[in-house]
Amino acid sequence: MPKKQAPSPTPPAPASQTRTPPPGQAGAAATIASPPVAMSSPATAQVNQAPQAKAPTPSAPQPKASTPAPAAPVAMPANAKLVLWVASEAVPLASTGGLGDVVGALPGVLRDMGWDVRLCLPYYRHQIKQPVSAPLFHFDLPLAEPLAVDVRQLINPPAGVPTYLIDCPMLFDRVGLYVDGNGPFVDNPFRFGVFQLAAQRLAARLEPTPAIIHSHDWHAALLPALVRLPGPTHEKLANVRTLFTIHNLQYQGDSDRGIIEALRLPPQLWDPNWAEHFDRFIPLKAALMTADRITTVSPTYAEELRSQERGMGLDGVIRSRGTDMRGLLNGIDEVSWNPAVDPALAAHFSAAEVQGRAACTKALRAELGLPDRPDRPLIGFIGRLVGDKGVDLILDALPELLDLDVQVVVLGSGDAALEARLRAAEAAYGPRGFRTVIKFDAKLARRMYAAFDMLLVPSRLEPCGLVQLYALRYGAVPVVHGVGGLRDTVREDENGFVFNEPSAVALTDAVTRAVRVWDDQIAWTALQVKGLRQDWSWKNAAVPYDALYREVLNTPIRRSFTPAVVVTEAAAARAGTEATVTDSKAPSAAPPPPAPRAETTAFRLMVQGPRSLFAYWSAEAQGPFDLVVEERPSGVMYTAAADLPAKGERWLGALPDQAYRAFLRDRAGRVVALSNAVVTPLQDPPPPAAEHPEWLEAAVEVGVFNEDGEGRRWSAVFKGAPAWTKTKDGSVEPSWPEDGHGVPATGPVLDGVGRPVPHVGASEALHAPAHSKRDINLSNVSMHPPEGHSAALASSAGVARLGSGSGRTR
Amino acid sequence: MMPAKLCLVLHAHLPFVRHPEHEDFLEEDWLFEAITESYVPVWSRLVKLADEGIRFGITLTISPTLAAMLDDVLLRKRLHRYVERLLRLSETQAQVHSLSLQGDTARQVLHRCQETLTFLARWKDDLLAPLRHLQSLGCVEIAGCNGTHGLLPLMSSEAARRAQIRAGVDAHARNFGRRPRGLWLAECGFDNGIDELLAEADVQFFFVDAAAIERGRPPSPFGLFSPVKTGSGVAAFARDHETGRQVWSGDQGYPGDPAYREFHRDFGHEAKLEDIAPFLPPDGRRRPMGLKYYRVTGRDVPLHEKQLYDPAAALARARVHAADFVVNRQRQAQALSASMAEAPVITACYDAELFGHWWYEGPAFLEEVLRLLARTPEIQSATTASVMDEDRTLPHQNVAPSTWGAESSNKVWLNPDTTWVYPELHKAEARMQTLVRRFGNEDGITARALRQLGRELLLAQSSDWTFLITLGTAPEYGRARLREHLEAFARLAHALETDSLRDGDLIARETRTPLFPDLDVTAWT
Repeated sequence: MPKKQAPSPTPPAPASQTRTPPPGQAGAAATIASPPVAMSSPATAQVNQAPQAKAPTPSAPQPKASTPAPAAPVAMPANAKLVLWVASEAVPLASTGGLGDVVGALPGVLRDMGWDVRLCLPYYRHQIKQPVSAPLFHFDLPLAEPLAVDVRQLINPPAGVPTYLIDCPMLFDRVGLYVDGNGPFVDNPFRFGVFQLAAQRLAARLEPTPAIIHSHDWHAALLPALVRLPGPTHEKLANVRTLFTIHNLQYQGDSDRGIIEALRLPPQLWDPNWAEHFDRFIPLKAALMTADRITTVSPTYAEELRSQERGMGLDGVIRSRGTDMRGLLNGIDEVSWNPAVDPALAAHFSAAEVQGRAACTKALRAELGLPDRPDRPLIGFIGRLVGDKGVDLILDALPELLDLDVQVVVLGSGDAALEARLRAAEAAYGPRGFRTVIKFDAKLARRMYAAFDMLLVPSRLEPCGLVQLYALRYGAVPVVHGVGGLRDTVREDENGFVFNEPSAVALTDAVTRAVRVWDDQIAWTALQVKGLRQDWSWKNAAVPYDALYREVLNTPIRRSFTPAVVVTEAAAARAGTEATVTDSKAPSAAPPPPAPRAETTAFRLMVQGPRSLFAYWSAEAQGPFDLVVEERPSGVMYTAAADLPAKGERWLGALPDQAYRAFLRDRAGRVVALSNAVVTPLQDPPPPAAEHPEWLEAAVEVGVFNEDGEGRRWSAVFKGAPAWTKTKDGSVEPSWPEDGHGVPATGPVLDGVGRPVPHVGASEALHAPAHSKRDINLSNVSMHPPEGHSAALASSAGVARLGSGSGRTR
Repeated sequence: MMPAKLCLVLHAHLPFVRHPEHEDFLEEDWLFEAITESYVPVWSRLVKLADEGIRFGITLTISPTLAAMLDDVLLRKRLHRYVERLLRLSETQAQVHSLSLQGDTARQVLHRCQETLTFLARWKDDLLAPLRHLQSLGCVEIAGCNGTHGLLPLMSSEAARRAQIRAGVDAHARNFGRRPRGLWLAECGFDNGIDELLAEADVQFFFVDAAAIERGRPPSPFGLFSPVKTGSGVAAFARDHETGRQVWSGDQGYPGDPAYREFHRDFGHEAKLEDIAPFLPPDGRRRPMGLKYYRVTGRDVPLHEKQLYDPAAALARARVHAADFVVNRQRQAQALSASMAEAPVITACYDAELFGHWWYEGPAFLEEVLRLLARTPEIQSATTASVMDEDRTLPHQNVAPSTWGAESSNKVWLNPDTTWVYPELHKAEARMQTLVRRFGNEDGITARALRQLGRELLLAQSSDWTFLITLGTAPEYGRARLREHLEAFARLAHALETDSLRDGDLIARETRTPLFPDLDVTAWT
């Protein structure tokens, strides 16, 4: 039957149910054998875009390239592609957190898969005690105050990953990596700017030339932009692909504009399309705008970063990257974390032999002075005591948890207030089976993973999370709050228990469910064994990276926005004006030739779901085109893709409950096609008493979602939006509504990345001083030189386009 | 206290599959399997209940493409051939196995074949006739469906949506002698503004996924348990989760019971070829034959370890499940009534083919449920139309865009495997509009050509093709049918635009697609 979803008498076993139809009768036989899918959720074919990993076998020894290599690391095949990792920390050399764990583990695994991964770190003399080579390279960086740096190499690099160290004692020989007892170093943006300028030069000197530069977090976020801008390495690195991984979006490395002069960075970076963001210089934005691909540490976290709550002001930029942004899970070190041999444990066990675990539990109870009660579960928390980790939820739920007749243990240190609450709780609930150990003790943690029946991970925010993976590896069934990587690694009924809101009630419910299963020891052991059997190794986690590397090498370099012509500040100072950026499309330039007829152009947006749109187009005009997306009522407008051919399609990220419209713009800035409007549905039930928004009602009423090629009806709903009308020559021209020019009718005015900006009305915008804030980011909407009335209004758009801080004239 | 209402809705639909150019066509078996395993077993039971005077109410939606196939002379002939083959096979098998469990199963199939033939004879081969009869009694309500089961939210224009709706309503009026009061939107696909089009077509209510009401604004005070009134005044009934889960869910649903017939082991694939050769079509290729000897046995039991099916035991199980279903509805009704001023309405929507085709014992279950409900004071089975006739205040709500597919989104039909389809469809939709504007006032061959263009476009829009592609169940057939109708559309449109229509070409296409005989093309203007 070619019907909906077939509930099957035999629940899922698709392979066995798909009988091979007789030759030539593919149709019905195969159909009838369709695998069963529950009706309410027909399976969607998920397309795995990443090709299957296939690691070339390392065979030929690495040729002695011109790169000096004091250490002879693992031999690589002759054709291995060089991938240069640039990051600010790596275990075991110098590390403060998750970033260092990944950088310390993944390169070695990727080398085993045939990628010639090498690492570039700052030389923290205070932390890195391993022997290093004499300087391989020496760079005199032409900064405002010239600075000399050396590049050294580790003699015996960990895991055989060649490691280059940027040596500049003045900047990197300090007690901490980023902070000391007095707080963060104020010159961090400068320090890591220097680090990247040196890394950029190092990349250009390596042989073979790196195929990929993979940089991590804000400390290396300028690199993807630097290699695309005119500079000393421009030609040498013209073909390098750039990957950027977000480990923590919270730290963006922002500083003021002065850093450009101090580091003598390409001035083009001071542009909203590069690193400027509301008059601040934000390295992280440069990477988000320019890297060929962006990754973060779990699929769910990648999704969360697209939202305003979690996007740290850059969610708009992230959304605009659509599928270029991926979430790839971290792994764990399966050798060090192995309950079959771990010397920290009282007894050993494995998926095949879980009995040893009972002895570990008994030993831990004795160690903590808990009564030996093998008939009741032992539950615990291990982690930093900070708000994000949600240990307060455990405290709130403690009486109810203890009512379940379980023992609860907390290990960790951190926030003083939380530590105090824990101590108080132990005093009150100690007799009922609550223990807390306020310290960080790695060995004790291992004993706990091996002893807990359940590990609580009530984090409010967890990009990837490792504790739940350690727990699974050690047979402690995780009970997690379903956010970020926790959602991606723990599934209810499969390997753990998941609750969906950060509350004590939800936590208690989940533990109650878990205890109920625990009571059936056979079912519980089955659950434990499922977890013990799962493979969370880095070897497994590296597979999608391998695929992504191959993907990025097989796709063209992302075209960055052409930087405008720049008048340097010095020149501007001589002219007695503020620095002025002149766009190549100045009014004095000859008017662009007429755009082709718009009638022959098809351009449609379709809604796939609350977070996904599909666009297709077919324009008569010659590309390349930019695809610009307008989101209402948020008022965000951004270039979703550049360099598009005349006919094509594209998936676009979206937010629930917003209206979208898009247009195609050619290189001359003319709008050649305007799409229909669509609205994305809500993803979750609305709050009680939520009314149907007026804009949506109005949109339905005027039919904005139907056949509105000229966008007139859209602007009847969203007052600040231009309607496009076709001119005689067939090109498209905006006509602005009478009121509220450039300002959306509802909601705050947001810039291209979703940050609210001060309200500026049209007339104010027209007369505003040149350095006023943009009212709405129309910087991506450059339109045909207008005439008459619309000329005046369009020039208000011109004002709106002014880059913040710099008086741009058109 | 008013008793709660349980509105069972069985949605029957198959895409239009008719291949006169082949003596035997595998995909046509979809229809024959559905008729012999689902439609006749369920409909004959409803007739029986009505004959016995049992009080019940149920809503059946019949898609226009299915109605056209049930009404088609060629397909009726082939239906008889199909039943005869199965009858002879089960007869032979019943003799071979005599008093074993296999013998019981074969005899049960034999009996079913005989019953089908009796039913067909009673209604003179017109399978729409029993539905009209039941509708006239008031216990069964026949609701309509949009034209060819096209997914409305993915269409490019209001005109294209309107044409689908109007074609469905008109076909229904012709088939059942009255305009449908309720309309099933293909895949429960709803988008902003569709309710306006339904109002325009005098439709009084339609069916939506639970998400449509759960995410609608303002939130409905009664949740899913009362229809809501949309902005255009048309009411929407939303599928209830619990009744869906009990029947559909692979883990918790009834059809997974070990006693029930195993769908995936068919005698046609297991028998020695010489044993089934006399009962196969002339091409002699194996195919599923509708005779299945094994039972589900257990959730994780591999197919080759399944045990023999015992029809009597399975039937007993179905009765137990029916009792369980009704008890759970009673509980649900009690819980709901406590918090609602009006009698709660539980809308349980299923694919009609679930009962009998996928879940072999489904028709017996359904009959038992209706019988039990007739004796249960707290809850009654009811048609959706009868709920509409009650003096009931419906909460106002703007229901949210949704489908009954994965995540309530359009994913199943719009995904990387199917994106190529939509530019083509949308081009044809726009072209159709232009052609109707240009030639809409003409008659003769031009008018016929316009109607045929409409048919080709409607058929290309069926959600079944993209569904088959996405699920990989019959992707080749899905693609082939899309190509066929889009190409026929393009050729005909070109001929019309260049004034080079040929009667022969037109007749060829008209005879291939004998549905919507008096299609009203003005819907596209």
